[in-house]
Amino acid sequence: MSSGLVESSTTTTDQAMFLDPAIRDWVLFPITVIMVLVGVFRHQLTILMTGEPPKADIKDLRQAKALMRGQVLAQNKSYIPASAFVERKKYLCDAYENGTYLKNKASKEQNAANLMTDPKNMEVMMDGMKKQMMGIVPQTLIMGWIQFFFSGFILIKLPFPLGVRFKQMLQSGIMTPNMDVKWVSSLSWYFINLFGLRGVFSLILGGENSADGTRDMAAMSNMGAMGQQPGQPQDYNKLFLGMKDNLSIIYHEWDLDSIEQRVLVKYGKQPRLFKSARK
Amino acid sequence: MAVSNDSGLKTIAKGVALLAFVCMLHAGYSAREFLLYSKSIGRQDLTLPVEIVFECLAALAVMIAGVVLGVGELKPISYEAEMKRYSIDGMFSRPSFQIYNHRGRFLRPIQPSASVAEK
Amino acid sequence: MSSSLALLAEIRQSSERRPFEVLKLAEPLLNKGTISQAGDDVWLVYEQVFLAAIDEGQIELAKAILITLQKRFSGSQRVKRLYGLVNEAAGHPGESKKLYDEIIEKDETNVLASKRIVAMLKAQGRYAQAIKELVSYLDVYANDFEGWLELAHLYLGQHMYAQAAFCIEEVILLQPANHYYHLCYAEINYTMGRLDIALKEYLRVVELSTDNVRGFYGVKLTADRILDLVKNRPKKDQLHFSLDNVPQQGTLERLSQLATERLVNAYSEANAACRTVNEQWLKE
Repeated sequence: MSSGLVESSTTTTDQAMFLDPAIRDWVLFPITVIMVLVGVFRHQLTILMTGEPPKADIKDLRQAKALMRGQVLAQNKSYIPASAFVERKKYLCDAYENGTYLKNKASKEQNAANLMTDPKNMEVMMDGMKKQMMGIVPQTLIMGWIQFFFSGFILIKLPFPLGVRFKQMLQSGIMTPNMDVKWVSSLSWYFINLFGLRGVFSLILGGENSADGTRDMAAMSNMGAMGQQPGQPQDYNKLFLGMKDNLSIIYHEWDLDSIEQRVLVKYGKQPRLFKSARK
Repeated sequence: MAVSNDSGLKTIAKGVALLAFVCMLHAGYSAREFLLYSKSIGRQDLTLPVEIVFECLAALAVMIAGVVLGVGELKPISYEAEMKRYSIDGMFSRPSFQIYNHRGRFLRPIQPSASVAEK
Repeated sequence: MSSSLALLAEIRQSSERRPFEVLKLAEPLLNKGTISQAGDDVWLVYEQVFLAAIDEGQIELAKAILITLQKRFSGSQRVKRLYGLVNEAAGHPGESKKLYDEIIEKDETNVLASKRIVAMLKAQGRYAQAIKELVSYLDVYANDFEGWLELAHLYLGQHMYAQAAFCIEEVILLQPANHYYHLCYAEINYTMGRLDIALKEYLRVVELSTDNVRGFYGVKLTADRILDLVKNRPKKDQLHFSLDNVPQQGTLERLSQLATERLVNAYSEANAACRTVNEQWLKE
């Protein structure tokens, strides 16, 4: 009884299937080569279309750096004496309140909607759109092409066994529940290439390339959220006011208030009396 | 002497780690084979035999020890050790603000070596 | 040969100004053409040698290197700046100024050119203008610690200690764990008579950097000074100093003692002359 079961199971695992070498030559290699070529093409196209980065405006920079200054102050406040901190806090809060660092002081009351009309911001957004389109269009085309011509193909047999869980990944597009997971379908081969060619691209095109399609996929799924993307116009007035509130409620404690004790402890002149006052 | 001894120890440790890694792979393979076989003969109790578990854990322990002993010189990670590499001159030099119309050109005889740099 | 490249890289990273050594190391490299062994860093090495050459007044060598760089990176702003530097070193500041103005006109966010303009004012001895220019630069680039450091030194040159202290505070905000800047801050505060802050900052130095000699000298000096003021001087004299936040006398004495001990220890390896000088100073 039991020996019969063993026999039947071995026959199912050793499915006697043979792939026509023509499949390898005319499907497997073409798909791979085309994926690579499309990646290289995308890379070149991106270089061609990006052009020069938009010239930074000194007022934009000033705006951003002013905000950064507030952040730095909030972060490292405890390393400067109280008087120095209070002085800076007062100055920065006033500056934020009055919009000293704003790019357009007149537009202090305007809201974010008007930022869209700024031609430079438009350009930045267009640039992002172009890049995303370039990612999505070719990938969709290739996928459609593969699905149209090669759906239902088995392309390769993996030389090692895998668990049943991989069935979803390796045999998408084929509805055979009993086939061994060693066999990989064409659509799955496409996906494996899509995600696996990153290393190849970074080898042939260098680390910073734009041939890889997966990043665009991630971007696409983020599109719904749309949050604050880099390069998106920001309402600095609001950010400044937020930073001002942030700074004005900060409690300042100089890190060096108990330094005498710490140094004495460090050089072994005093036992560690209290749990050190540092956070 | 001590150095060569040390590097020899490191090579051995790396070899041991590799061996342990192979053992671990073997344990994994055995486990898979065991499960396949157990399923095919219809056995209910699918807990792994103790040898496999032991092999896996022992290989893991040996591998960790081998890797730890086999790595290169450990570097100090304290900020102070890092700062020791910098001198006060370096920290206070402001390269973008250096001035060049100074006495430097009068201090040493000029050695014309310009022609060589052109090739 | 690669060892001299490694040495050059070390000097480059330390950002110390050692032009003579750089030239000495680089000359065989240039002569034999082995400079290309540096791989991707070769252009950085060229730039380094260039800066060393103009520091040493070897304008011809600098110009030759500049031609090489120009061939590789035509149109680069960074190389353009080097032209300005050559002119500065060769004594044609007018040309350089024109070049920098040109760069800035094309791209007003060019940091390097803006900094050079400040440096040129400094070179001409027009410190007030240099300070003004640098302040307006820092109004935009508030997170440029090199700029703040430079401004602090410009102010120090004018004996404007309060302003210098402000600049060093900005530097500390940007790099809070660097003990060299705490040391500088402590020294400025000591100079201004803010002994309480000076003492704490000196202590911070020796906390961050174990057995820092300059830090311990500062601790010793400040602690003894405060003790002297508090114990022996009339209230009237104390008014000149800011002593609001000083620790208790017992702590001060212990700190002074600790500093003495560490300093004696630090010089225990030194030769006899050094040791006696140190001990004499400590006794005073």
